[in-house]
Amino acid sequence: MISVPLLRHTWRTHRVRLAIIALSLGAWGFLMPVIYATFGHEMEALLNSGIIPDAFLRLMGADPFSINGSVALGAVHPIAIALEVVYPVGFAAAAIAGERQRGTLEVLLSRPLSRRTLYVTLLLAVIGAAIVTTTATTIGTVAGAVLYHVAGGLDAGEMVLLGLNTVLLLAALGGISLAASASFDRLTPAIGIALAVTLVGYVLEILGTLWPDAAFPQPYSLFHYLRPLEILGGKASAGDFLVLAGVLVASTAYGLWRFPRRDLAAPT
Amino acid sequence: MSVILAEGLTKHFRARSVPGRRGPAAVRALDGVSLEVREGEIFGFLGPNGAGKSTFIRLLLGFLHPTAGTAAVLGLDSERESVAIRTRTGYLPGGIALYDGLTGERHLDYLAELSGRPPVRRAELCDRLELTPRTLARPIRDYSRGMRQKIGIVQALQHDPELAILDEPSEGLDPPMQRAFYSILDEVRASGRAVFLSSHVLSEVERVCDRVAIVRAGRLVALEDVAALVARRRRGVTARLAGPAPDLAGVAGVSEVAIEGDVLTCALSGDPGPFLEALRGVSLADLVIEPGRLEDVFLELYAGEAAEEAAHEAADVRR
Repeated sequence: MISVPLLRHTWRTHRVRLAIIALSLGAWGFLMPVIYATFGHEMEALLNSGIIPDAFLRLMGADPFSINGSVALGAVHPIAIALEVVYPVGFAAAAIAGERQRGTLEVLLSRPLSRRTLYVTLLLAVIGAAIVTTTATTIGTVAGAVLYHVAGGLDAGEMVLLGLNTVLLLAALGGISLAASASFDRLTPAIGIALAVTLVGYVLEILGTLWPDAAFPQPYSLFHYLRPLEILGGKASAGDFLVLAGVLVASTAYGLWRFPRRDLAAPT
Repeated sequence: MSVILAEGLTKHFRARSVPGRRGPAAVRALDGVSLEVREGEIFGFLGPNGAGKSTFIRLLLGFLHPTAGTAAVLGLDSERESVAIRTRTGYLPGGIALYDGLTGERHLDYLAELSGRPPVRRAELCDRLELTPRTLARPIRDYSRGMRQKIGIVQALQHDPELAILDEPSEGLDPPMQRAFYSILDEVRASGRAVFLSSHVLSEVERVCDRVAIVRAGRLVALEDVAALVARRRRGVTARLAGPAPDLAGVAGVSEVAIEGDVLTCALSGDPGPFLEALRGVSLADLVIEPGRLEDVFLELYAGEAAEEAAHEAADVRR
């Protein structure tokens, strides 16, 4: 059901970009415990002084300057999200529609490779990339915590759960993007849908957090089910994981149904 | 044995909009095409751009789903067993797109890996098409159009497929490389393999193909041996007489006889023997018999079909 040469080729093609993203996320993860260890007490005093509006405190979680709060803040920060989604969303959206637009898809499909095999292989590449970037973030965080002697506040099991939560979010976004990619002959609509789902979802989640009256659409955002603070606080909910896994399964089922049924006419 | 057997193969596409009409309309890309390609032959598939050549090929390989009809390639159903078909065939798409970032060699390796069959003919093909190791070590983004086409030919034939499906194969090749390519095709035929060659280069089809099918607006308008098709073609004859004019009335194959001064012109079809026999003893200063060319057959067929196509298109719009 997967093509090893295709998977190898995909990884080889993207290895440099992926390494840069992974290193950046590793550095970002490293920074969170370092900031907590270095400025934690001063920042806590500043936050408690009332100078920061409540809405921003809610955005940062209830406990922004514990080690868990610091790591959780790092996990939902726009910089981290942007770095994390660039590969699953960008690559997945371009994976099939981009090959189709360039005309290379027909060279691939002239080999004994079913469309479902192609799809599953590309999905595996996307999930693999999500695992690599999330692992890099986790390693960076643990390294920073150990080097700055704040690792005692982190629980290994909870860190693994947070990693799984992040991978599931990225896989769900990647799944939607790949399904969009398999549905179009050109890159623009596939990228448009993938970016819309990602950006609108993120904005809805942030908006709902900042402004309680706008919280009602939050459940429609996939980012709503990324719960680092709850997970690191020992209050992980299986429902969050199930929703993300459900979106991944549903988008994959759609892609596997749609792609083989499509007509692939000659590129124009 | 048939390597390709198409029966009533039809493909309609939905057009997004037709002026003056609500809703999508069907565009007939291919309409009831039936043909058979046999083992060990080079079969030409002729037609201008947009005639349905690529659509037919895409149906054979399972890229498109037929609206009606069936196609079997190497005895396998093109819809249900397309993966098995692609294991045993080699395909050169028209205007092939390659991965620009890979070197030629890496590209061929990658496609061979995906084929799952060893590239047993690669070295020989590269040698014949003058793809040197140095050239193959360069990234494809540096390749000219002709070099890309050579890579396309090698990737289609490197695993010695039972059937090669080649869409406009000589596009971009210079004349010496075209000759090298034709000799490769001759060898493929001699080895009992079959080639399905789509082209609009008539001289190429005439040079390499055993049989030819001609499509126009998605419909098959001719399917015949190339030699028979060309032999049937009426050829123009011009004779400069050095004496009395011969009597050509009733000579088999001769028509449209006209004499103007010392120049005799006529049309000749089929066997030229009776015509040459009638010229025996006639004093001639010069004699020119135009060679039969596939191009003329092609143009004749197209001229004859023009009115029918117009009616066909009108029916599409009404539908």
